[in-house]
This record gives sequence, C-alpha cells and structure tokens, in this order.
Amino acid sequence: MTARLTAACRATLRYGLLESGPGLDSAHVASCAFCTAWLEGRERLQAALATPVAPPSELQAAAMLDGVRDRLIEDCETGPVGELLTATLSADELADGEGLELGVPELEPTFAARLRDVPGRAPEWSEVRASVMAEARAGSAEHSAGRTGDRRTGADRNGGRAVGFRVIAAAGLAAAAIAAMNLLAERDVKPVPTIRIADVPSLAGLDYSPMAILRRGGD
Amino acid sequence: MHPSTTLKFGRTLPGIMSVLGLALAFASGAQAQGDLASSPVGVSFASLSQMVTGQDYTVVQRRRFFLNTGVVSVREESRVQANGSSFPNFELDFLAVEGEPSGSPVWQHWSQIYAKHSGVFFRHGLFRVRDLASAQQNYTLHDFGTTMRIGRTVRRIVVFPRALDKSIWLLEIDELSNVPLYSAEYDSRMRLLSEVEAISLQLSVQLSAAAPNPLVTVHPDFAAAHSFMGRPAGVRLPSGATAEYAMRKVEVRTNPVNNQKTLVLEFTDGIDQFFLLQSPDADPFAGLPVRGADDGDESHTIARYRDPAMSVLLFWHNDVAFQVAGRGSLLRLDSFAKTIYRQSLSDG
Repeated sequence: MTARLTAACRATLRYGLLESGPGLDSAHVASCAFCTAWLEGRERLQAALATPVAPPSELQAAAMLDGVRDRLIEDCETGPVGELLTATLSADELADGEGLELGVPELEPTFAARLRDVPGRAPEWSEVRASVMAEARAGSAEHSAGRTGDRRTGADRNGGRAVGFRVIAAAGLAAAAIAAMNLLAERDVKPVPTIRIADVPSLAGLDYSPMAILRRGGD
Repeated sequence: MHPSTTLKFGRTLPGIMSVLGLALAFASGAQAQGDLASSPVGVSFASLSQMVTGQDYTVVQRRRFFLNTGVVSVREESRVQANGSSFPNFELDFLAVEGEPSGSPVWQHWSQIYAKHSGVFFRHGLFRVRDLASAQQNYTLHDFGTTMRIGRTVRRIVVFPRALDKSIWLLEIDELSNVPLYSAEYDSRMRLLSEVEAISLQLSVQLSAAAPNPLVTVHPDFAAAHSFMGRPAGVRLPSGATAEYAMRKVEVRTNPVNNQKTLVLEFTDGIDQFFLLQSPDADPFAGLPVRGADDGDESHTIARYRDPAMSVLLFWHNDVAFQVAGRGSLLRLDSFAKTIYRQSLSDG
C-alpha cells in the first residue's frame, strides 16, 4: 500500500512543527506508522538539540577570522561601495591604505547621500508593486522633481505606472485561471498519472540484469 | 581491440559483411513479395528448433564480449545432453580469457562471472528457436550454401527479422549434427552485438553429477511462481498487448546473499526475447510518504539505460522493483514498461 499524507498526518505535522492546531490526535498517531516515526524522530532531535554543541576550535582561530575579514574587504573593494569610496575619498587618504580610520560612528551627510545612489540588487516585484501603489494613491499631480526623496524622471514614473497596470492585469488573469481550475477540479475526474522516462548513463549498482550479463558479464 | 581478435576479424569480417549485404538485399525483396524465403532441404526453422533436442555434444567455443574498454574473448566449454525438449541438460564451464595468463585478475574476474551466470549464457546467449510457429511468422531464413569451419562442413544461413527493431543473425550450422558452430548477432545498422565461434566439437557428452542449481526454479505459470514466492503484494502478471511477443518461461531466482526472490518472465517472438523482472521488498523508497492523487498531477519516473546492445528500464511501485530488459534496438520496450507501470498504479 502506498503511503500517503492524509489530513490527520498534516495536522500532526502542524502540531509538531508549529505547536498550533487542535492538538495531537493520539488515535491517529497510534495507527499511522509515518506519524509515529516522525514524532519519535522529533523527540530524539529535540533531546539532541537541547545540549548546544560547542563550535570547533578552528572556527574561533584568529587566522581563520582574519581570512574571512580580508575576503570581505576585497569583495567590497571591487564592488560599488569600493568604487564610491575611491571617488569620494581624497588621494591622500587612499594613499594611507591601512591607516584609514573607519571607527567613526556616523557617516558624513554627503557620503551617506551618495551611498543611496549606489546601484543595488534588482528590485523585487513586491517593492515595484508597493512603489506603484504609493504613486497611485498620491496622484500624478503630486509627483514633481522637487518632491523629497523622489528623484525619478517622468519617463521612469510612466514606466512604473505601466508596470503596475501589467502587474494588476497579470494578477487578474491568474485569479481567473485559478477559478477555472477549481471549477474543473470540482468534477469527479481522476487525474491520469504522468509517467516520465529519465535516461541514466550506466547500470552501476543494479543487482541482477540478464541483458547486462549477456552483453558485459554483468558489469 | 585485442590483437588476435583484430587478425581474426581481418580474415573473416569482409566475407561476413558481404554475406550480410546479400542477405539484406535478398530479404528486403522477399519481404516486399510477402513470401517466406525457404532454403534447400535440411535447413529450416524446424531443423534449427531441434539444435539442442536430439544431439549430445561437447563444444569448446570462443565467446566475445564487446565492452567499452575493448573486446574480451572468453573460451568456454559447453556440454549438452539432449532430452528431446528445448531445455536440455547442460553444463557451461569457463576455460580461459584469451591473451590473459591463468590466475590473472581479468582471468579470475571472468571465472567468477561464469561461476555465477553460466546458465544465463547458455539459455539466452546463443541463437535459439524458442517458438517454432512464432519464428516462422516473424523471421525469414536465407541459405548461403556450404563452407568449412574447424574442418567440418557447415551451412551458412542468415535469419532476418520482419520488423527492423530486432537483431539479424548469421549462423554456420554443422550439416552432420545440426550444432551451430558460429553465431553472430547484428543490429539493423550492421553493428556486431555478439559472437560465439566454435573451436572444437565432439558429438558426445559427459556431464558431472552436480545437483541442479537450487537458486533458480522454473514454474509452469505465473500463479505457481507467485505462490512459490509467498504471494507478495505488488507482483503482477502484465496484461495487454505485447505485439508478437508471448510469455514463454517463468522463473524465480533467489539471491544467495539476502534470500530475496525475483520473478523473471521471459517473452519471445520465436527467436528474440526480453525479460520482465519483479523483486518484492526491493523498493529503496519504501516507507516514505509520496504525493497522492489529491495533490494534483501524479508524476512517476522510469529510469532507462540504452545503448546499441541493450535496453534496461527500471521503476518501483508498491515496494516492488520492476525491470524490463531487452535488446537495444527494441525501442517499444519503453511503452511496454509504461503499460506495466500504469497497471501497477491502477492496482493501488
């Protein structure tokens, strides 16, 4: 019999992982080998994790930590922050190299302002959506070149609005598709199993195959 | 290639290729006419089906294995005691690996292989007419006259399949004893897949008093084999079309290491064959929860290894490991494996 996750199994997992839900169904656990094994494994793991394991001494070695710090510094030097520092700091300060004092707790205002312009990662869709929705709420009349913190050009704002409309349209299409799928799923149609064939490069590990024996002696 | 093998091929290969070329041209014409090509009196599928039924013999022969690393020629001795059936008493012993000193690692390796699998080599590693009516229906036979081999007069024939996804056989049959003294198997692209060549022949046999192999048991049908295995769940008799292939033999093999039993079903079209193996309690993923029907699309995977010489397809269901194995050109094994998989899934 093929093991399958039932609703009772999922409730057991929710209780075990999140400690949420109506609680443990003892009758189901007693009859389900998977849930019994999972809960036993959970208890063993909790016991093992209760005692924190001391990290290896190598991780605390000064030489290893120095190496990590050096790599971080090298990566920053070749990245946008390094280029900004090169452009911002004077030639005399750069020439000192190792002697730079970076223990100042606050960044200088001009330096901080230019840091904001350093190109970072590609914006996530959630950020794009939030930006577009904020523009839509504020209204196009309030978007001017003098607005504090908004340095985007008119072309950028129009592009952002177009992106927002696409996002809304795509969300609508997705919702329609999900609704259509739910309607279809309500029919009592048994899904046809999809069987795929995956090619393997060898028969290593196969215990017995008459063809492999005939052709290669079994290897 | 081994030097001695190259020299042998150098002498015989052009002749063999010319024979096969003529056979291909002749067979294509015969197939177009829909005729079953017949040969002079004495050589027919009926006479070939009696190769091991009526004559005792002892033959020393050279069997070649075409590995990725080169060709290995193994010398073996086959002793056959006819009993009137297609399943004679036999012994097949390893003698040597050509070009290798006795006791070398290669020598020992092949000695161990023969100790374990000599039965497979004898039953399935030679040309056989396994079902006369099917062979006559699915193949044509072409005679190319007589020649000499190991000082004996032999008749050279080609057995050509009606479907192009099967092997072509070149045979040299001893005219006196009907024993095959040469057997070569080619695919449709004329690639040599197997070769067995006699070195000496005696028309007598002396078998040892060794007990039959207890690890392999032959059963009359699936039900008997299933009962012998303890009726494990998930092991099934496939139903549905296998085209011109019919189930011929049912065996149960027992692994001496872990006592695991494997059901082996042999299907044949009269000459060619493929195997369906089912091993219960061999599912490496047994006990793990899998995606069910209520999770949406069910997806199952068959692992396939294929090269010009062999096709092997593997899948698992209900704690049973399935294996479909046949020749490399038999691409329809893919659909056969899928059919069995679907039937297993419908069982639950």
